[in-house]
Amino acid sequence: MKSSVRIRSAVLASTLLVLTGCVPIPVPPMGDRAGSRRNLSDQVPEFIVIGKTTRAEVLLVLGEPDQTTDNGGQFIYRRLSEEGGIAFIYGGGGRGGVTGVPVTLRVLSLNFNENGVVSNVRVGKRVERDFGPNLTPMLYDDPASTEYDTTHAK
Amino acid sequence: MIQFSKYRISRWLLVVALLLSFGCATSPIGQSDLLDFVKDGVTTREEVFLKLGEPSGTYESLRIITYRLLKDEGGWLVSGQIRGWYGNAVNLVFVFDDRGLLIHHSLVQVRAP
Repeated sequence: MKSSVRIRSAVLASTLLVLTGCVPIPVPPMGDRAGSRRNLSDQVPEFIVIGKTTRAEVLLVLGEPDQTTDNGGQFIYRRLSEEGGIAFIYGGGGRGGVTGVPVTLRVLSLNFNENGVVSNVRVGKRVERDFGPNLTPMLYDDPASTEYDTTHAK
Repeated sequence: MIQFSKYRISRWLLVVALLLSFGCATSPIGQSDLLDFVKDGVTTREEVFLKLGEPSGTYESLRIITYRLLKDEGGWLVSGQIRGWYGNAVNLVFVFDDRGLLIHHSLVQVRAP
């Protein structure tokens, strides 16, 4: 009798958790996101040397950047991947799903001087949770919000 | 009679299924010789524009131009300006000298690690 009550309580508690929208679940690594470049690592590419590497050399190796600012004075390359972790199942009255999937964002930022030579280079890596509309503006519209891990100084 | 009807229905279903599968089929539209004209020291910027159309990126007053390409079974096709990189996307980068003559080019495998 007692075990029956316990099972019912557990089922009820699980159902309530699902309905309130906060059930953590593990998600496997899914690799790079659709639409993301892959030719970007955690490190500054070896061929990039401040004061020496030109804009043309960067483009010939990495391709066109995902974003340019300062009228071509800054290139930003981005890579988005899902490397697994904890996401959330939510109920929401029949419109449920999985949300908050952790997305790893790698960024390479390059600045060029007036001669088209690299004057600064930074790489950044951070994990953001994808709750839908929050991710896109952060990735594409606000490069200044990116926090960088290292400054390359050869 | 019932057997005959079933046979006819099955045959019609087969025909419809075949028609649907034909409708979904695609044929390659890429051109295998699209980039044959590209030669460092020979090709001009004008030739590139005439062959490939509007570039997806321009830098340093057209000294450097880029194109987004895709490759299917038929060969290369220009994908145009789209946000993000999909499929087997390749970025073709051209660097010209002051006279507009091609001095360097590369096919960057953006989706390759």
